[in-house]
Formats: sequence, structure tokens, C-alpha cells
Amino acid sequence: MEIVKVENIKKKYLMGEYELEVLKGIDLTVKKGDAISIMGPSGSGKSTLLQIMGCLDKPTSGKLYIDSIDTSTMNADQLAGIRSRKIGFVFQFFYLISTLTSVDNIELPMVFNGLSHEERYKKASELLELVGLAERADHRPSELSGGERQRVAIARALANDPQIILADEPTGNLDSKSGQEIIHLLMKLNKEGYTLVMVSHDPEIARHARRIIHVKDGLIEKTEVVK
Amino acid sequence: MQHLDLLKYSITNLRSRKLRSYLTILGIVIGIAAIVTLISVAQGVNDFIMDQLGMLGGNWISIMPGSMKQRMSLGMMSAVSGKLTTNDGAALKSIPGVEDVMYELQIMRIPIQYKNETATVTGGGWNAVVFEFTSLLEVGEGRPYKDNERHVVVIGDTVANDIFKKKIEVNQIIKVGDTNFRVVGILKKSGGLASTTSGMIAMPLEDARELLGQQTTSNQVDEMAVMVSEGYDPEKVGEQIRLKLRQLHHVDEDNEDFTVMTPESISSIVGTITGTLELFLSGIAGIALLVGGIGIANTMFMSVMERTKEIGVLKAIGATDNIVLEMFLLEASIIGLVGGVLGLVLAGIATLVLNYFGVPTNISPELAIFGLFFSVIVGALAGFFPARRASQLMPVEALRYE
Repeated sequence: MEIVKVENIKKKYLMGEYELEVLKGIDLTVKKGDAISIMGPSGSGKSTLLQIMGCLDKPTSGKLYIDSIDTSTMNADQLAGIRSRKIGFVFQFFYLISTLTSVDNIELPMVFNGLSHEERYKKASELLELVGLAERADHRPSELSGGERQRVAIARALANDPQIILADEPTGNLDSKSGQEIIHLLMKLNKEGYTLVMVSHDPEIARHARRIIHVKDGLIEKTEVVK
Repeated sequence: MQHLDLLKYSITNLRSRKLRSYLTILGIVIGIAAIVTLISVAQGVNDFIMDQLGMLGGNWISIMPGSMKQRMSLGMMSAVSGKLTTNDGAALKSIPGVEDVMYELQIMRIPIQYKNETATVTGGGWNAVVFEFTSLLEVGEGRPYKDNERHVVVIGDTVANDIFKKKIEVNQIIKVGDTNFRVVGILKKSGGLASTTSGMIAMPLEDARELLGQQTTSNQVDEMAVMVSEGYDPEKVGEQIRLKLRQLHHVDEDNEDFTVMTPESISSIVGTITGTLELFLSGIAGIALLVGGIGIANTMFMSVMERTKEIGVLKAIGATDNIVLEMFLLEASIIGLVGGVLGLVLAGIATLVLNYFGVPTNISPELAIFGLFFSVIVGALAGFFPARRASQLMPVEALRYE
């Protein structure tokens, strides 16, 4: 079953006078249970691709299907609904809400999804347990280490049972030990059934996936199956 | 349900960003306090003047020597041509609707002596009917003098209690000029315009004439006032008085040597003055609204702008544009409300201080409600536009914002 299907996606930015084509026609299919790494040098367009897959950005042309639904004709509210229910995004810089505790941060996507307080609290507690931070529920991001913050961010990404987890350099802002822990957590989630796509420029991290998509100059250079 | 959660989020946000919330609120507090205080001064001054005019009494006509034109060009205190006499007054009594006539002789400065101490006060002579004419001369202790009495005075409250080391009591003798006078009454202590009478003395007309000596002729008066009988229109009686005086003074409409001021003409002159004052004060209030409003808008605008990235995060994890907008509108409204309430409190304190220094103020319920609404609405609007702008960005664009 195809969770995400990218069809001939192009993305151009207007940089002052001239146009910069970041993605020059990408085709990619992500199946349920997949674990994919997107690798490439900086400026290759790998993050832009992930952001478009996560509906955080719109492609200039091409089609994106999430769960077999075409998103290219969707309005802002419908896209927000896709982000809310189908996608869990994990950022390099965590992007937790600094004023909220761990549990409140995890509950926030469920607030947007209209869940009741009881449902949210139950789910958030389970997710904290899952990422191993049950005892950190009432801590604010500033009271957590980088690795712990990323774990809260991962738990937040899972809040509405998304079809897919998209992680943009999830270990890029962590020391190697915490990075290892985060990658192991993501792979554990993948084994439990979550579909995972992550962007990394670090081959060691990328290797944990089952497939590595090499992107260069806005095009897929090759797809490598990890042994 | 969701709205309540969003409200909780907003409050949590405000509470955990204390310093910034306080500073934003402070900006609004100062804006609202300035607006409310200035408008309350405008209202207070207006009320004060209206109140004082009410005290002058409404049912009498004032007659002064010299034409209005002369008085305007020469100034109130200057000498004018034309004289008013008690003979004029006696003649006016024949006009239907004229109940009584009051005469006044002004004395600018009179030396008075009490138990070997001397002081200078202002005063004047009036026939006894003056005490019925105006509440400015309300006798507290003792009694008013009568028309058949001589060498008696009614003294102001300050004269009685403050000027001399020993208080002057009713029935004691004071020396006015070179003559002994018996104090028959002491005026009530009062504030506002009436306080102008607390430092003066009032004596019968003939006594004042005696004190003025050569400065005045036998029956001349400085001013007259006619009390209008009930049931008569003061304007019509005023017109009759004007006709009668023209006849007596052998003048016609164009060279009148007197001025007749009816309640209506007084209130129209006063209306011109308070109108100008009101215009001036509303100008100040307008500037306060503008400056306060811009201040509020600016603080709110900046506080939303710098959170564009947070808006990006909220959208990335599934918030719709409207949810984002609602969150920021709630925050802006709460800030506006709290700032408005505190601004009103500050304005209340400021008006108390102003009152202490004698500036009249009036914070009406309408003004308080207006201040609150203004604060909430300007705050919400100023939060609305940047929040809407940011909420309509694609999440990546908002996240990229520094």
C-alpha cells in the first residue's frame, strides 16, 4: 500500500532576479512500513523534498498523493487536516513550544484534532512511556537535554497516529550518543509499523534505513538498498 | 471544548512569558491611562463649569453699564461710558415680571482691622436682596443684614477663620476703613466658584458708598440684577428692561450704554467658552487616542511578528489558519483586557492626584467602558493583522522567519 506518492515534483524559488530550481522532477513512492533515508549534499534539495512530502510547502508543479489522495488541489484547511492526521514531522531543531511542558507539547496536535482532554492525556502518557520519558512529563523543553527534546518531538509527531513519520535531520543537532539513541528509537517505531522517511547527510545515520535515496542537484541520482 | 483548550494555551503562554507579557501590558496600560485621564479632565472641566453656572441661579437678569461692544473691546474691568443708578432700578420695578432689583457697588481692596491686626480684603455693597439672589452668598452662622441696617457686615468664611490670629465671631466688631462694623453673619464654607466669596465682606449699599467716598456719585451703582417673577419669561422681561433703559438714558438700539444679560445670553456666551474648551480638550483626547492606540498596536504587532516561527510550528503539527488566528486573537484580547483594566486603575489614581491639585475630573461609566473596549479592540486588531499574515504563510515560510 502506497502511503506517499511523489509524481514529477518540481520546486522553483525566485531568488531576486533569477530562478533557482531546487527540485527538477522527482518521482518517489513510499510504501507502508518502509524506512527510507534521503541523502545528498547540502543544497541538493533533500529537505525541500521532505517538506513538500509533509505538506509544509507546495511544489511548483507535480503531484503529491498522501494515502492515495491528491493533495495538489487542496486548500489551506484541507492541508492542515492532512498534516494533523496523516503526517508526523520531526525537525532538526525540535521546534517544541517552549512555554509548554512535555505532556502539553504532545497534546497540542490532539487539541488541533479535536480530541477530548481525557483522550489526549491518556495518549500523551502512553507516548511519553514509549519514548522513555514518562518521568519528564511536566518538564519544559528548557529543562530537557537535546536528546530528550527530540524524543518529546517524536512523541508529538506520533500524537494523532500518523501514516508516516517525516524526520528532517533528526540527529543533526545532537551529540553522537544522543543521535544514536534517537535513530534507534525511530527504527524501533518503524519495526512497530510506523512508516519512516528521514533526511540526513550522515551516511552512518542513513544506513539505518532500508533504502537510501541519493539526491543530487534536484534529481534522484540513485536508490540504494541497504544490506 | 477546543476553544477552551486554546484559551488555556493562550493563558499558559502569557504566564510563562511574564516579562514580555508585562511589558506589552504596560504599553497598553499607559496608553489607556493617558486616554482616560485626559478625557476625564475634559469632562470634569466641562461639568465643573456647567455646575458653577448653575450656582449663579437661572432666573435673573444682569444689567451692567456700557455696551457689550465696549466691554469686549476694553476688557471687563475698564471704565465704560454710561452709568446705572438706583433711579433706573426703581423705574424697572414698574415692568411686569420684575420681582426685585439688586444693586451692587464693588470695592476692590478694603483694609479691615480686628483686635489690632490689619488685613486687606475685597468686598462690596449690596442691598439685602442679594442674599436671595445667589447661592454664592449663603450665610452659615448668624443672619444676613437688612436694608434698614447700617454699619453691619456679612464676612466670608476665610475672613472669619483664617486671616486673623483670633477667629471672628458673630456680633463682634471689626473696623472697616475707619468705621466700626458689627459682624451679623458669616458665609458658609464652600468650594468651587463659591469659594471666591470666602475671602470677601458684604455690607449694605450705603455703607459701601460711604467707604468709596468721592469715587462715586450719590445714586450710582456698578451693576444691577433683576429677579424675574415666577411665570414670566426672562427673555421677554429682559427685552422690556432694555426698552425702558433706552428711554431713561435717551439712547437708541445702536448706541446703548448698558448691557442686559438674560440667562439665555449668559448661557450662550458660556456655551461659546465651554465649546472652545471642549474642542481643545477633545483635541488633546484625540491625540491621546492616537498615540495610545499606536502604542498598543505597535507592542501587539511586534509581539506577534516575533512569533512567526511559533506559528510555523503550530501549522506544521496540524493547526489550521483559523486555529492559529484564534489563539493569537485570544492572547491579544486578554492582553488588551488586562491592560485596559490596569489602565483604568492607573487613570483612577491619576485623577485622584489631579483632583488633589484642584483639577476637576470625571470618569463616567461610559468613559470607563469605552476605555476598556478601545483597549481590547485596538489590541485585538493589532494582533489580528500580523497573526493573519503569518497564519496564511506555508509552514516552511513561517518556520524560516527570523
